[in-house]
Amino acid sequence: MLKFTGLRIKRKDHTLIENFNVEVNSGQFIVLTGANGTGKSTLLKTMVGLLPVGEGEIEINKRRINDYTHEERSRLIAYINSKKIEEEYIRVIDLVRLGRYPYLKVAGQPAEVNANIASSIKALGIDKIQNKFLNEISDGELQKAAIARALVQDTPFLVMDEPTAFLDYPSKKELFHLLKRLALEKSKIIICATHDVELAALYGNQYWHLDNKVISVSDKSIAWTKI
Amino acid sequence: MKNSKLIWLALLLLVLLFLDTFCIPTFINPFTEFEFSETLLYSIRIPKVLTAISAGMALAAGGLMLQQLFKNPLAGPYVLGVSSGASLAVGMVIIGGASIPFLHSVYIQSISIAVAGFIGAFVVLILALIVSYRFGYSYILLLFGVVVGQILGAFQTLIDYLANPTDLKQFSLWNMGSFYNTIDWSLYIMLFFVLIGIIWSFSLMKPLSIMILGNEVAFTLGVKTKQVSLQILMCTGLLTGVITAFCGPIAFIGMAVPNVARMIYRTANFKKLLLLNITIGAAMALLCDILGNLPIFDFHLPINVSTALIGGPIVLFILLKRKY
Repeated sequence: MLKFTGLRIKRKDHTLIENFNVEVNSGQFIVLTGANGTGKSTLLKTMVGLLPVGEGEIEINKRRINDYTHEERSRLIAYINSKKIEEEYIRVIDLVRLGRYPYLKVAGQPAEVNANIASSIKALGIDKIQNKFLNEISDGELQKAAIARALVQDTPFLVMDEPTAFLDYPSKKELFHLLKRLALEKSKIIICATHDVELAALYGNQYWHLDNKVISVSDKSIAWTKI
Repeated sequence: MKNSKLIWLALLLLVLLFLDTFCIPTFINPFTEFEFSETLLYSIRIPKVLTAISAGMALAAGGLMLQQLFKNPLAGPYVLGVSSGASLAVGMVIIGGASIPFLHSVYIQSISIAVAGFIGAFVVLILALIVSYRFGYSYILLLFGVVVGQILGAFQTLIDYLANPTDLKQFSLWNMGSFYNTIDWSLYIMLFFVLIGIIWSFSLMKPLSIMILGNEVAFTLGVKTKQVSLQILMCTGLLTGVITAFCGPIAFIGMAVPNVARMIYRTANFKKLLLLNITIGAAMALLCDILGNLPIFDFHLPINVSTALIGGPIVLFILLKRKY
């Protein structure tokens, strides 16, 4: 369960988002839309602990996010942004495997872990290129690998900042479909900021639209009609 | 890991080690009991070889860490301006200290040079830490290092200009780098700090490998990115500072070795990568010493001449090979 109470987000002296209140239950694929520079990324970064929560509260499972330790949070929320990974000399499978870092000290069953990695790679359709090096694949494939990495992190919350930026249309569609299914089947809460409003309208089951410091939340896709 | 590559590399290292110890610049038969050759072995050859290996390992480890931290294959231990700080401080001791009678003893002067190199390196490192605290670990820090290096270089030129020829020559020699300056106590001090630095760098490899994903994503995976970056800077500063203090500013090894390692073996396991880097670093330092002291010449090449002759083409090759 995810709850925002009176959240206000500022960048320097300038308020980006005001008085945001919402409660989300698990199994939801939330789509966040809004023009460039309105504060989508800032909101997402605040959720994952990259920026401090200023005024108001963000609670996960009835506990404030600041009360979780850094390690606990890494097993609770996975985060992806659209920044390109600059490393060239490692294999796709090894990149995906990095998502297991939060569990190194809690080592799980190797067979289970490998199955999790294999299924995440398959879900993104990159099993054929898993042994290639990062400089041998396209930007879209690289982004899919980054998303698979987040799935391997195996967290109940998934926060994605424009994960579809480098993908072609069919891949975008597949990804949205996958995210909706994942949220439902594994009762995750997935929040995805995107500019692909048509696809968002098709696949999301909750819509957050950020405009003029206010996030309007709706269960129907009225958000994209405003744009 | 293709272990055969590592075995070949280890064999190469052993061959170089043997050559540099017993054959360069002249042959010592290790099986004859001739007092002179024993003294030569223990008081010159072995310290030289240990110094070369330490320098190669330390600079390669530092280079790898900085290249990964800044995600820039041309970063090296010297881009932070650390060596310029050390150079200026040593220049002040050698040239400025000429008027102080206390510094005329060779023994005291060699201690002062090491201490000055260390202090000079660390002052610049602390400046870099302050900059990184304010601006993060971005290209700004790299630019800062380059500019500080230039400014310190200007002071250096001024001191050189005012120096008398004898002191200037001594300082120029220090600047060319040498593996022969470490005598008994200083060898132990250097080995001690290099060992600490290398162990420290191994402990940073796992989080550093996660930082491939970008610092923000690495943070959400539980990596304390700021703390790790700070430690990398400090560890690199320690390794570079120690080597510069005792061997002078040695060029190219720190920048070239991580690139050679990447060409030989690509892995996401950074502990193996570091092991590979320090092995290649040690081998390259030995090779440079061997090439600079071949018995066919009747003079010895300064270490920075051979590192540039070997490392320079490697760096150029890597630059030109990259597809943009």
